[in-house]
Amino acid sequence: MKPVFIEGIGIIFTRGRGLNKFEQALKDGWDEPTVSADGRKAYRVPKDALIDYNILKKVRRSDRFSRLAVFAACDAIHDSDLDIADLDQSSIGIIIATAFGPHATIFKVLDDIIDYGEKKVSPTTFANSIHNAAASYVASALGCTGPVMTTTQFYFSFQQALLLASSWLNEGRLKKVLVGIVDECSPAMEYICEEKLSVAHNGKMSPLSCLKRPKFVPGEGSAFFLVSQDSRKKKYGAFTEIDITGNSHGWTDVDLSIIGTNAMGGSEEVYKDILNKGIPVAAYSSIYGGFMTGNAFECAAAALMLKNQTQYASPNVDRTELWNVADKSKERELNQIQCISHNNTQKLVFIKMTK
Amino acid sequence: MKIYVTGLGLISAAGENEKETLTSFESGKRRAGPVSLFSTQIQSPAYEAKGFSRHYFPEQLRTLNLCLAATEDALDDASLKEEIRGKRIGVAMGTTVGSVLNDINFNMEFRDKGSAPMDSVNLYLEGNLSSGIHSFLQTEGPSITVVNACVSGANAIGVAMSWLRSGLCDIAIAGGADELNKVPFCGFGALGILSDSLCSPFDLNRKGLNLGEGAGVLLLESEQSMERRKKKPRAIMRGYDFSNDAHHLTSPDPSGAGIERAITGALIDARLEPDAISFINAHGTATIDNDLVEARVLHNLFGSTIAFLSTKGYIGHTLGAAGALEAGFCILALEQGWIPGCAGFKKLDLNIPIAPVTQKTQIEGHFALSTSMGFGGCDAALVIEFPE
Repeated sequence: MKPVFIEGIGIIFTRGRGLNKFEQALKDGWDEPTVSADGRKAYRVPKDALIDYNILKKVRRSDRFSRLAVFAACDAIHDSDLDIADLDQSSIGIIIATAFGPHATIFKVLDDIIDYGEKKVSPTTFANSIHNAAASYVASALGCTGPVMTTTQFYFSFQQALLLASSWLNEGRLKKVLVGIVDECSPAMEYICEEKLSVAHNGKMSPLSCLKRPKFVPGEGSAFFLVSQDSRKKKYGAFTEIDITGNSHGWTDVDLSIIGTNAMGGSEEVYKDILNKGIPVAAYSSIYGGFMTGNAFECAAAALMLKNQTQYASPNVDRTELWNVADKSKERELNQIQCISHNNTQKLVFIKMTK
Repeated sequence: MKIYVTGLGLISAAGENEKETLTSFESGKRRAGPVSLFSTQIQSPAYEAKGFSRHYFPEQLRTLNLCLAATEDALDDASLKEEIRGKRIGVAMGTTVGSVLNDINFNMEFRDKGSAPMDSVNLYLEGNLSSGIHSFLQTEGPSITVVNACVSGANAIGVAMSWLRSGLCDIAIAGGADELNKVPFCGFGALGILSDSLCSPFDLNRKGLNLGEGAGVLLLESEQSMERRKKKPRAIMRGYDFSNDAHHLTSPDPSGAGIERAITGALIDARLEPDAISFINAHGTATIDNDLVEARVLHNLFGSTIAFLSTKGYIGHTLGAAGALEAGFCILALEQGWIPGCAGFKKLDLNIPIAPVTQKTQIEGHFALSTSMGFGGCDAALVIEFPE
């Protein structure tokens, strides 16, 4: 694959909005999750992170899900110093990947049907409940009239979206693509996670534990990358390989492996056979919580580390004997990092990122 | 790079296969009626795939079952059924309903009791279209479910074209599927765009759309793959483009700039001038706004004599399946040499400068255009060629 260079990153997560906050979180390590009214723990995005009237005035009727995406997408553009007004607005594409879509808004539509009857559904709520509403708001907020697409693939939503972005650039269809993820953790999602997964009641996820049902705390957020094939615009390195075959053992010429330990795919046992003991291993999901599209956050972490030439300590790892864990934050030469995720059938997908 | 269509699977209210579909088109028969798949107080005819009963997955996963049935038909048509396991085959599917956790009983029980059985959640997790098909067929290659509202099916075909052009796979299974479902039925009702009678695309008295269901799947191949298999193409996917209005969540940009950009881009991709197009399968939902904007753009680009129609009068608006089904209908029309009349159209709207064909119409030439427009301001266009 031709390198896909990262020009800008935008991110919103449990500790707020902005890449600086994310970088600080990687330095600080684990922190307590938020606690909802019914006592469930989750890494939710705080309300004050979603207040920015300059942006909100452009997306007044949007729901929380769309706002997560709009804020992260706008920040990625801002981070790149790109002035969209200077460009042909149809030359930028947008791809948003999501595992569960705006399910909290969908449940509001269902509430309307139950409470008021079939004919009294709020049209605004219904419009916001459609999966591509967030992408539409992003396009409107940025004034992008190029291709805009929303995709979903549960576990590998981000990887497939990134692969598509790479295809669009290869074809010459577009000059730049804003590719990212958004997922939301509603009370219903917290409940579903509690029923289907092994929730960490002490608030600590257990990355790299190899437990059959790893301890889990749900998370949410949005992360976007502005990417192109123009190496001159590179700010954070590049995506250089994406392997979605499921047959791969990854790469051995990398300096760090980041594992997507979101617990939804079950045990990380599958990594033990394929990870070269010489390569340090890290997992950061206990910082932002577990969700299927969280591997975009791992790529954001990798991008920061490649830029800063700094490895951030992998928090909350108990079973250090199983792995060569990157357990200390330190400056080090980092040329290539691979981000690996697995699904519930233990299929592995790899992304390689290069300085 | 040329991308060939070597297989087709079409399931809709117009028929469960190509022969039935063509019979419906030829006779002008419209198989719509009251909703039978769920109880509803909303009075709007629906186009159900009445006889559909092929179940590969639990019955509740109707969208996935429709999609896999059309996929199997496309694979059969392409003589590819037995030799796909482990092949570099991409799966790109569009949907709306198939991506949504919208079980009313789950929601009611959860909010009343704070707990609810996981059955519907488990089904939902099983129901992702491209994942489901990818796993069922055990293919190796990229796999993505496009959830771009009513443009999803056309976009999924476009995604597959991108993959093939980028060399990510040799063959791609691409299309879309959607079942008739109560939640969007209520939602479209809330938006005031459901017609209480049979839809009448581009007509002066059009009152809105009728929902439908179905699946359309195209088997796309690179030239090398097709030649290796000694297979003849049914069509060539000649061009594709899509764009966004950046205007409004549910209404098209009145200027039509988005759909015009998509059509122009698809023609450039196909290296064709507008006068090469023999006919257009328009999106034509029969809503006031869609038809007005779309027809004006078609008139601007293709003049007043272009043959066009909407097939929504035969299948309803099948949402995520629409773009793929209609691409399939274009292939049938190019092969047959005729397009059906635009069912439901009777009287010209003076605000619309061109009229669709009203009866079975012979077509000449080799190129068709299929347009799609959707919520979120999405617009897409596909140019399809009948091979010499």
